[in-house]
Amino acid sequence: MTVQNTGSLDIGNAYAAPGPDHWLGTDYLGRDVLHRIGDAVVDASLPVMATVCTGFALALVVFIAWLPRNFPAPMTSMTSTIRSLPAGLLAFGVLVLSGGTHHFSLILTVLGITAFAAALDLLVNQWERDRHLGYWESHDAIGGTARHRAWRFGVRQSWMAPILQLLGLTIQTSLAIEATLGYLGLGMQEPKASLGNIIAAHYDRALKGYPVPVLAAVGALLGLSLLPRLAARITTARTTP
Amino acid sequence: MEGGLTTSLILGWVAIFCLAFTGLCVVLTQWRDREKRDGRKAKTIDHATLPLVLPALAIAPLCIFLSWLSFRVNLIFPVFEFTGTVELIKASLAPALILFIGSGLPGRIFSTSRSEWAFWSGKPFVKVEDSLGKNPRRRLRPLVARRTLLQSASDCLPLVFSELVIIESIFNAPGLGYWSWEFAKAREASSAAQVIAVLFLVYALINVSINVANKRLGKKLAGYV
Repeated sequence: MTVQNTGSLDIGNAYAAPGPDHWLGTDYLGRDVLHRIGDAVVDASLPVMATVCTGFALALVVFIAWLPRNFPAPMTSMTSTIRSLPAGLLAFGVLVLSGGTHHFSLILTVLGITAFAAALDLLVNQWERDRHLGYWESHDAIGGTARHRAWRFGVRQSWMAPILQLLGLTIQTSLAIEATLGYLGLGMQEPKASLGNIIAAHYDRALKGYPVPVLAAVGALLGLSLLPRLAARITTARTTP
Repeated sequence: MEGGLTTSLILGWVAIFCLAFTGLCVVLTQWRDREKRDGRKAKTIDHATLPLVLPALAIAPLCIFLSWLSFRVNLIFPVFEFTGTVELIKASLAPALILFIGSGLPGRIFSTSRSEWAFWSGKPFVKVEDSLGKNPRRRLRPLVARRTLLQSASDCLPLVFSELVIIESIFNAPGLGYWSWEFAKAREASSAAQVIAVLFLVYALINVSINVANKRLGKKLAGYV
């Protein structure tokens, strides 16, 4: 049994049922649905995950670089305000108002900024909470630097679990936001694939009794959403003494 | 007008689900706590370290298909103009339920009620009342319920508003989210921006009221030591 590994157009083979050549059938342009889902994961979901991780890494670098100075109040209030905004609605609003063609890069920008703000807000809060702990002050008294303390006792120990949890949650919500905007026709545009635009393309047909492509895309979205949860659980279990 | 009404109905149902689920979680937590104190082995449920967020885009189509295939119930919103108020209230039940699940509220309420119960039942005033033969847990229940409700609502409100547009679009519910999408599709950027601004305003109002309620509760809790 072989799968036709191509996303190329084949109009004569549109809406083909699942079979040996096309395990999940084809779409309205005769493209292999399984191949399209694979493309969606690579072209849309992975860049979203990479953007969120980059936002977190950047926040960590900025935080460590800024120490031992105090964080200015406008910066902390700005990060907590951005963190509390509904990112999905924000991205939707930005896309509607921009009216441009760079939909996906705009989504990535909004998701990256919100991830950066969320991570920085968390790190600053953890720092404010822990900086007066006994062993932190003892480390200061024997000549240890604030950066060393934040990295060794914070990021690599007690802050690890909350950081991973927030990272997992941000990846989950960002994937959902990207797929949602794709479904609404504001995210990744055809012919590029996103799980959202695959669901949108097959939704009407699914309501008429052929749900296989929609169910496959929904399954992929659920699987991707649960992946960070699983990863956070495993890592938290390993880091918790 | 119809946009505001539909969105209010959906958010109203979400609020009712929150209240009911919080009550259920607090009662279950108390029951579990009693089993522990009685020496019976309580069923250990692993703590949800990360709130379970199932994207509404994934679960809404599944629910629509399953309800139609299993029970022949059509969850798609009826045409607004030809529908009575009771029908509208019933029709907004399914989108609200998916919004409630999709925003991660159940997981957050569940884990917050457990941690709040553990925190407050370890307080000295509970132990003193326990030793005097009183039942402090009856007093603890509304306190934990209010704290859980406010904390979970404050945590999940951004997700509720993020998922509102997609929920209304999938269920064809003519709320504010649905209209903003319709205006965006028609390239009417100014109308879409107005509707999105109203959504942000509603979000800000709910957020402010949660913060005010949280502060008032905080003042009250200062007396509990």
